[in-house]
Amino acid sequence: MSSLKLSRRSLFKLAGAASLAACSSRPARAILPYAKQPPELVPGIASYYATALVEDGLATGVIVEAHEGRPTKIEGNPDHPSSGGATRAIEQAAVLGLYDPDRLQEITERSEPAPWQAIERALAVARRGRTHVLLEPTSSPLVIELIARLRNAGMTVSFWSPFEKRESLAGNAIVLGRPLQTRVDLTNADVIVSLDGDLASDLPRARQLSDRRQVIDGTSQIARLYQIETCYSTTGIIADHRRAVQPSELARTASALLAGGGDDPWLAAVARDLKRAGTRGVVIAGERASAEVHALAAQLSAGSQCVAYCEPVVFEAGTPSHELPDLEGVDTLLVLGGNPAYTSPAFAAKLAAAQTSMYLGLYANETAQMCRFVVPAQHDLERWDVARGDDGTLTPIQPLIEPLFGGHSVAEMLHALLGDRPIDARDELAAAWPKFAPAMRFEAALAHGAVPKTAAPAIADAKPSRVPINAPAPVAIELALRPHPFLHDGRYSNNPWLQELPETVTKLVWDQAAQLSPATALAHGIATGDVVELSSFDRAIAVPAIIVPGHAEGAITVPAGYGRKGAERVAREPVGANAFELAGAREVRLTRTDRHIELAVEMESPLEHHRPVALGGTLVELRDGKLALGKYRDAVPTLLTEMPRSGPQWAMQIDQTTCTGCAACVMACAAENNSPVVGKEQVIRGRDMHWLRIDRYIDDGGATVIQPMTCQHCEKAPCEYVCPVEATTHSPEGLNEMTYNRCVGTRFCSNNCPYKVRRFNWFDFKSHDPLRQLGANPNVTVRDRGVMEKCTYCVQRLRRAEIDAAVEHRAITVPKTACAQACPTNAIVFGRLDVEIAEVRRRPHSYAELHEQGTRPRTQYLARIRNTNPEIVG
Amino acid sequence: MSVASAASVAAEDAAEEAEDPIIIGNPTDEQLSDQLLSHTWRPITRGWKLAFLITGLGTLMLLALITLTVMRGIGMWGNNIPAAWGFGIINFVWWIGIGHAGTFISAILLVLEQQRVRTSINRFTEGMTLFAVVQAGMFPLLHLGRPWFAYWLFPYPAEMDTWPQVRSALPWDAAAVTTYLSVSIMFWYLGLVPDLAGVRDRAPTLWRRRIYGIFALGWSGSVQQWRHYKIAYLTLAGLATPLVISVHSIVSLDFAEAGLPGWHSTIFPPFFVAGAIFSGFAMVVTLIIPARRVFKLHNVITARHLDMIAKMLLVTSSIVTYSYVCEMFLAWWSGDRYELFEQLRERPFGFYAVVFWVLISCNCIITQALWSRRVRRNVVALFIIAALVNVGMWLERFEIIVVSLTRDFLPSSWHQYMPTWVDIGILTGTFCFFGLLFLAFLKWIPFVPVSELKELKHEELGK
Repeated sequence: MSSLKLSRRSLFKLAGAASLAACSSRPARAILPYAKQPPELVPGIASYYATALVEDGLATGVIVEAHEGRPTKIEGNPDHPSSGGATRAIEQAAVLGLYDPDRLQEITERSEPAPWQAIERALAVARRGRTHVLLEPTSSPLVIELIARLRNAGMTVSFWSPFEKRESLAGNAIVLGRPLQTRVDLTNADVIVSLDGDLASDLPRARQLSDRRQVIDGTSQIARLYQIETCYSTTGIIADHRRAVQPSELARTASALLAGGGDDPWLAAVARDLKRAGTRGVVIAGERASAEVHALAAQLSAGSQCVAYCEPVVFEAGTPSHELPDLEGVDTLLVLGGNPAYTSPAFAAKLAAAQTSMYLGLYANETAQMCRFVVPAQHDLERWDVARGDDGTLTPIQPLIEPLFGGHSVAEMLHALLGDRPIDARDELAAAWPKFAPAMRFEAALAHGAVPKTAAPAIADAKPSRVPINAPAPVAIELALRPHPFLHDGRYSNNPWLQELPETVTKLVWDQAAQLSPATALAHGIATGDVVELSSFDRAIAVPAIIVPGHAEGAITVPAGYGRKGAERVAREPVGANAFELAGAREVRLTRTDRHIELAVEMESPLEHHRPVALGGTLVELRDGKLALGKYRDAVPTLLTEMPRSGPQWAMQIDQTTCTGCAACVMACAAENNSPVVGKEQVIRGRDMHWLRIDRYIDDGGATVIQPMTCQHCEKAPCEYVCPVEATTHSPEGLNEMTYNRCVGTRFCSNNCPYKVRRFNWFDFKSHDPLRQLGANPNVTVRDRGVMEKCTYCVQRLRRAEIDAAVEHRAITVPKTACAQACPTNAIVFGRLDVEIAEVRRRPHSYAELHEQGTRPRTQYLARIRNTNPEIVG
Repeated sequence: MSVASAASVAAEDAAEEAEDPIIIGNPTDEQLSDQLLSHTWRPITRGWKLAFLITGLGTLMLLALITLTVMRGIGMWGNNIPAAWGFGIINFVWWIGIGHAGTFISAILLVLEQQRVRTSINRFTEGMTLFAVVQAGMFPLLHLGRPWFAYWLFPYPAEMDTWPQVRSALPWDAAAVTTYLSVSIMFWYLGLVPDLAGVRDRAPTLWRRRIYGIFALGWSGSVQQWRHYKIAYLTLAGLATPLVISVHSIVSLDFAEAGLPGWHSTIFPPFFVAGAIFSGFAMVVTLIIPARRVFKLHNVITARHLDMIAKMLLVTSSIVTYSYVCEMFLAWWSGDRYELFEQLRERPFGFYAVVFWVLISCNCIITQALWSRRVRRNVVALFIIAALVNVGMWLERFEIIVVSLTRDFLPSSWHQYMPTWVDIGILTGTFCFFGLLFLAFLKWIPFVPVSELKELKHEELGK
């Protein structure tokens, strides 16, 4: 041994060198263990922080799940009134927006990298010249203070967002004398008439409405919802009665309602119903309805206990500062957020003419491309700020992560513009906090995510006057320009999750499509996928058409958010045009072009083919026992062996009466379970990867019926006995489990699944972008190519709850699945078969899907119950 | 068909048998050997070279597409959810079905009937079986999401104590197909040994004699060897006989076991076996008519052979037709709305209706022409009918697999299935690979069992 002279040290050196050589494909990176572990950080255990996501100045309180400092999942904050624990699909997808490789990553001047000092120098020049600051609408007291200082310094400030609250404030201004904000509370509503209302994406109202529409049995007294709208919305889906009208017809309808319905028997019945409801009746209008409609709605709701008015929460909302500026004589224009060059093509021309322009934003979008200086902004999950919820509740915003690309905030830019010394954002907020919320300490507010009792007070003397409102005349083809339910005004267009989320009514993904009714399409010789040209005077856009039964005649709905020309790669993918080109146009000419595009529609057949699929009926039928849903419930004899049971028996119940089809659950499922994005072509091929889908059917009456569909966790699962390798098996807790490692990919399980809820990795679909990978949930396996996957009842959450209960020697705290947690209307209930689910399953309208197949699903449904007005036939 | 006409057909057959020889002329053993073995050492002609080139290139394409599929994933094919099975399984069922006729002719006719007509064609059909099973065998492997784990379908003592899940038809299917392949190889090779020895003895060059000598396993034709040979051959035939029934029965359970409308049926095992023999006989005709012409084998593969196969086609066509009617009747009889929709609405009048009507035409209607003796003895007509049956039987599997899958219980999950260029390329590639193997077989292996034929000749002419 001595001859070798190999000391222990040199042996390890050699071994180290050998292992380095063996691993040479891996880049050498410094990794550091926690020498001193921070007390709040346990590797492997998620931490949760309250913060908020802001859209058009209004905050939605959220709880963000973070793993070792990486935010991975967003849930609603139950303590925040704008959330109530729920989220929309947009909030669910925000994590992917954070880890977007297309985000702006450095400061540029004329597309060349520039230091922050260049910005400071430019702002110093701007301070002395005539400068205009264009902001997104804001409710942040911090920013409002800075705006006052800017104005004192002689600078001008305005706000712009294409779909912010504008019409409602204008309508209220007509009847109340000033632009007050309507505050609707449906807690005690009996009859709700919604004029193009979008209750489903208004989380607090959606929750209130669903609470008022809980069907226990046929004797339940539930609220009745009428929806009068142009394009089929999620509110239209849950409405008991629905009528499709041209946008301009809304005002005439409201006028007729005010006059008792006139000679229209349907409207007269609605008017009588409203009258009978007294103060518990309410007429509400959606933000896309015109100011006249809002004024009429206010008049119709006068005396209703469900409506109150308050000062607008958004700073200067409803005033001229919320119009796009003229820029005449402006030397420097600062665009801090938004994308006005896209959302207002008219403004784009002015922006191009500006001498010096600076943009703060997340992406190199259309506006950024036109500005001389471009500064990367901070994502909502990266910054300190404060904002107000829709009701005015003060909401602190705290970062979950250091800005990934060194972004800057609006406040930081405004400070720099004012020539202030740089100040730490947290210190600034903490120092100012006692001013904003004297009743609650800063740290307590951060932990809580909202400051209670800071909602804007109702104005007691705001009573709508009976000024006569003129309704516009009808036109041949009326344009309805709408925010996309997921892409909004295009700000979320670079989010592939949202692009691949099927819009509930059309089931369309990835592409834009102008919606029109079958009759209107027939009259113009248009089929789904035909590219149509919409023109108004000298402006025209070409978009593919999609035929939507239930859409208003003589109207065409064009969703915004497409035709993006920025540098965002995902946003540029879909077919479509910028709908804002037609902003302000009411009548459009509709012409079919020769082009045809294959749209990625996720459901081929909209019909139920007379099959007992999505069951439903009226409340009266339920009361009188005419629905006879019992036959869709009893246990069917089976040859399959009984599975051993132990532990909590998990089950799920989905209420089709309260489900709006908002798709928040679908997005939540994808975010929780690392579902990949496959792209348009694969969707057309039938290879979408969502574990949960919203099935949409059009019934014989032309009404849209929806049914969320996911793994039913059958007790007698057809998938299990056909798997040759036991990759899908039954757990003692009643879960149908999937062992990815064991799956060889015969796909027999999918063939034998009567619900077709299994998804197969046809290719290596998982993301290989290291930035995107940061957003993955570490508790859920990222599936490889060639294996089957499906809903697991969020088994990772169940295991966590079981482990926590075992460690703490206590009974299990029943966790929520991602879909149930996100659901704004509590339509999805998850729990133990004999505890949480026992009561709902006993209800007379509970049923098992494809019951006669004998699968004994653990997930069951509550039939869609319509509280129809007996005076309205059909 | 009336009893009278059946009786008249039977009478006609009896008359034919009396007049039609199985061997035409009275060739000597020497002449037979020369006629049936000499092709193995004759030089390769230009036509052969061209045929080898085309099939060889097609085989290379097949290999390339298999590589592509394994590298990129099954997504290269047209499969989707709901149609998780597509061309892969269609091709598998079709190819393995084709194999059945070979085993049927060789084994069943040998064991059950001692049919003398089988003698001239059995080696040929056994070769067809073997090469068809080779094509078929690729697909269960290829269609897996992770083909490198295919061995998990076989019971082996794994360190994790995991076994195949025997309630599924698939491990049984894997076992059935591999058994079938191995028995087919043994049966084919054993029957070949005396003839390989014949080539060894007569081949003009030394290296040919050596190669054939190795494969002839030292066959000397002694009485002892013949005794053992006969016992072994009959034993293997006995083993192969139940396989004809079992393999396709098990294959049919891959479908019948599921609850899917269009699959969930107890009629499937006999229906599939009949369909398999039907398509197999059709393929025999498709292959034997050109081979007979090229090798001028009219004296050993006579009109009577063709006539017999044509009758078999007619019989199996009738069984298949009966099965179709049964499926529809049972759908109606069950009153099950999903079955009814699948069998009586979607298949005949749905998106893929053309598939239904073409397959009915090919498998049920056109075959009725075989009632005519003139058609049965017209090689052109017979060839066309057989080729159409091949098409029809492929479409039948398309119908069962794709149409059932794309129209199951919930209309929400309905989605069209469209094959990709890879699917079509792989199917074409298997034709070429099959053709390549078959050409090689025809060229270098005695494809008419000479020894058996001589035996037959002595029996026949010695009467």
